[in-house]
Amino acid sequence: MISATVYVEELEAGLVTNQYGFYSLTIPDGQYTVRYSFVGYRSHTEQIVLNGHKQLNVEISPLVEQIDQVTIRAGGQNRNVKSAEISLIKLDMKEISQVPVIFGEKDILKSIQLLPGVKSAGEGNSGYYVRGGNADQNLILLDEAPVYNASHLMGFFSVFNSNAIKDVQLYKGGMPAKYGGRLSSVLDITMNDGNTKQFGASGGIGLISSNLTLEGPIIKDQGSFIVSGRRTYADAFLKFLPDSTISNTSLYFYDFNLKANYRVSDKDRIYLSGYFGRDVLGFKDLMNIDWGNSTGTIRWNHLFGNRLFLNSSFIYSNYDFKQGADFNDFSMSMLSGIEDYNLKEDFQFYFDSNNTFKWGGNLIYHSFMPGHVDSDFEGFIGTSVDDRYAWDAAVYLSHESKIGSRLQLNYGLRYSYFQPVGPGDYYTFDTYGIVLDTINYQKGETIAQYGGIEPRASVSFVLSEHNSIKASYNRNRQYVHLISNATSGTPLDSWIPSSNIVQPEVADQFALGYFRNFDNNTWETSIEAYYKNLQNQIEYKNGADLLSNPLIESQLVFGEGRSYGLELYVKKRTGKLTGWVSYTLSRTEKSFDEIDNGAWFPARHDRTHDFSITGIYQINPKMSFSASWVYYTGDAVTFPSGKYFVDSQLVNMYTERNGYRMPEYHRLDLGLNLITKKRDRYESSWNFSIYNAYARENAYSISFIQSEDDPNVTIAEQLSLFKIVPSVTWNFKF
Amino acid sequence: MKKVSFILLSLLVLVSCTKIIDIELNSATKRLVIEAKISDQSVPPFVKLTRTMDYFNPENPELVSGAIVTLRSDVGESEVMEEVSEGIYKAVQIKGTPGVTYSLTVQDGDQSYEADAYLPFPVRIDTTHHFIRENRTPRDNISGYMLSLTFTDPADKTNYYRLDALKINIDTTGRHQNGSTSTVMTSDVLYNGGQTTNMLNHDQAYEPGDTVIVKLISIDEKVYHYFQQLKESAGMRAMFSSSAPANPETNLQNGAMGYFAAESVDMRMVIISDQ
Repeated sequence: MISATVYVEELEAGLVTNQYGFYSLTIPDGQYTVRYSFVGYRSHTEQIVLNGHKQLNVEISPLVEQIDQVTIRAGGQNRNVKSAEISLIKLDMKEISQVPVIFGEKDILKSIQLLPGVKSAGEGNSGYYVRGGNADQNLILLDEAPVYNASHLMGFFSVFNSNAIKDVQLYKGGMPAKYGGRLSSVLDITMNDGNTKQFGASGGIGLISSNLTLEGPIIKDQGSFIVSGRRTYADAFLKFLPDSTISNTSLYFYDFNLKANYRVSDKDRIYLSGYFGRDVLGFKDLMNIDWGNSTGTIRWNHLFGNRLFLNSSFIYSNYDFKQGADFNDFSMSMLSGIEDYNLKEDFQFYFDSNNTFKWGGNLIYHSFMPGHVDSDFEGFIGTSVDDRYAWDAAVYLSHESKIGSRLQLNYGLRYSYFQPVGPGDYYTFDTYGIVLDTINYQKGETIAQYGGIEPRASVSFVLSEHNSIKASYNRNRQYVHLISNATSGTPLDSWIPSSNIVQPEVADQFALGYFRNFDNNTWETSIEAYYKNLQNQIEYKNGADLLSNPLIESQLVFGEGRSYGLELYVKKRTGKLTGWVSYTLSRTEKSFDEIDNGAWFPARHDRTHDFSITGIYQINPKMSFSASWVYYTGDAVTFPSGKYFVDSQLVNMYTERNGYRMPEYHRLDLGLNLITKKRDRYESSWNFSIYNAYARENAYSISFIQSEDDPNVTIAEQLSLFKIVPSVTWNFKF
Repeated sequence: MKKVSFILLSLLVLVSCTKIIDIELNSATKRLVIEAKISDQSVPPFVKLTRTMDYFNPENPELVSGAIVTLRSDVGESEVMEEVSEGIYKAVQIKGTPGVTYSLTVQDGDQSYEADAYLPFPVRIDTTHHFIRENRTPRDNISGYMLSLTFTDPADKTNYYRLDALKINIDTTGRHQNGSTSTVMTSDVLYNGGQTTNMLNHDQAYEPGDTVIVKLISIDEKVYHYFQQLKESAGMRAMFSSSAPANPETNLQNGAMGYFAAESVDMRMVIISDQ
């Protein structure tokens, strides 16, 4: 269990378990009462007599009928106040399952968008922006493996099957030194381990997707496994449509999660986890496109003595996109992707109950395939770009320390290093993006070397049991960059490494927060302010030629960015009514010499006000009602400020980048969870939800076009998606 | 690539709706729009001057009279162009010659605009080819003939091309009229010195009996980029564009819209026949 509290009553001291559920406490010999607790779980108290080293493995069980219980408040209930962690969001998977979502498909990436500092990438989209960072500046880890494209079906679903997920943590700032490689956030997702006691199955059948999860012990209490699969069948409805373009289209995705763990000895545990998902888009037998991620992690936990914990991981990540098209007399194919092999060592040393040291490092070998296009069409010139290869390494050391009863300090240093290597042709370009020079590198030859120190620190100062002040600073470096063809993620997006042309991105972030709990920790509130400075940001040049240009680096410009904001958060944790309110006030700006002569302009995803309220009301033990309402002001966008005609063709005239705003957005979602049968081992429940309940026509995009009747008349056309989307899902468990 | 976007777009249309909205746009200062062309063909060099207008203004563009338009060349020619009708200026003496760089100056009130363009040596069409294509893929809700053009690129330097296919419509009285034009922009970055084939009509198909004028136009780098960006911005709707829309980069100095192009042209007339 991750982040469960282990609390020694006699000493009024405690700590939380690490991500493998491991903990180590060094206290004087004596007789103690140790309490293990976790939100939503029955706490467990153990009396121990300590006279030397002792290993305590404890299992705690979930509260079955949470509402009837008097909620346990133990040391640790005010952890949000006391710990040095700032800008950290922990998702309660149980809570997520009750929040209404589009198509009834619960989704962690959409749930985090209801929290302050996290912005949705658009209607129904699982893409997100954290504190002004771009979508590619979020590090997404699934059991330590980076996931390069976290969305299915154009972003309307995330690749994370909620049934297979145990824990989700999102760092918006103040990242510990063990994380690196992306500028703006870390989303650390841990998969379920499976039940070590008994076999079980659970699943859901919905209108557009179904899922099934199986879990059980490998050897009772020694190891367990879990397998979870999911498949959508949205295209089944397309068959009934008269338009042959659409009824002949197939479109679906599926994914599998599996995980197994086995305790080899008291000191050794092995974990195996994997993810495999694919999206498929086809048109008759003529065109077939499929894309997806696969990740795999092998981990070995080992305990040296009683206080030194080592995790060794070997991690594989892959994303690829394949397209094949068959025309009458010729065919075309395209292949692009990225592949990583990653070796990682993490040590945790529990020096005493006030000091923990963590250190480690990792080494990644990246292979980038920017896109091979091939065709047997006569005279076709293949537009293949050479594959790219790079070494990516990092070492870190951090110290978590409690000084007195008021001060907690986490600080550390990370050193990262990136080295793109041959083989391949590398280019230099003129200002128009025309190749000036080509350099050919042999296999393994160094193209460039980048590296640097990344200091990280966060501190909390406890004013009283109920309130504290926290601050953090972090520097992050990013060596891989997503080059996207659209504002929201598409399968065509490709990752490129830093190279002779593309420099590593660097971010410095400062955050300051005040945390206060009320009414015996029933209410949690916080206010945080942040300022972020970004270097070597990447943007397309004006009028970039994207689709027909294989040398994508020639279409980029480099500049800087800044982002600052204020985040408010109020959460009611317990009682019949639970929920939270989030508000973010922010600004994100960029500056590029090549765009408007270096003037600061709002980033495309700059959004001034972003508000959401989510509530879950437990009507009785079998029925709960939930609702969420989202309101935000429009993102920055470039609209024309005039028009003219060239060769009788209408041309829009633009005056400044992102000088306009999209219309404001708001939406209400409703949900109802109903448990219809509940026996000892069997449970059946229904989930009903309505997305966009009052049918607000929110603008997804606005196009400026010529009227079909009169070419002199120009109009603005708004596209809206998803007016009211009702959905129903049946869930079972036995 | 565009096809994928198109299918995804058409699927989104299922759950989407569009409506015309009222939106307030800034009223930008009017700017001069220059359309200027000199070619190695018999057509004399001409310049058309108009002004930009507010986005939702439905009137015809304002033609700009009384400007002083001067054409010069790097071989010593110079001529003030004559305004032959409102906003249209023509040169009488100067004829486009390959290998010569031309400069254009437009004096409009107290503002002056300049541009240079190099007229490249012509490249010849090797052959054209047409073949039938059924309505097989989602993007092409059209059946009919596709037309391709093959030419051999000179190896000595970087070349920039604009390929135009202009369909000629014949009305009931037998008069010829210009129909729709398909344009392809290409440069020899990837095929320098080789023979290359380009499909001309991606957006439309031809019927048997159609007459199509095919042009292989050689232009300089700046003009190429102008038309490339112009084409890119015209064909895109907001949804799938990521690079923020911007004005095409022109060779005109001092903030005018439009272009000054120097072109050498090789032309063929193709009559689509049954195959």
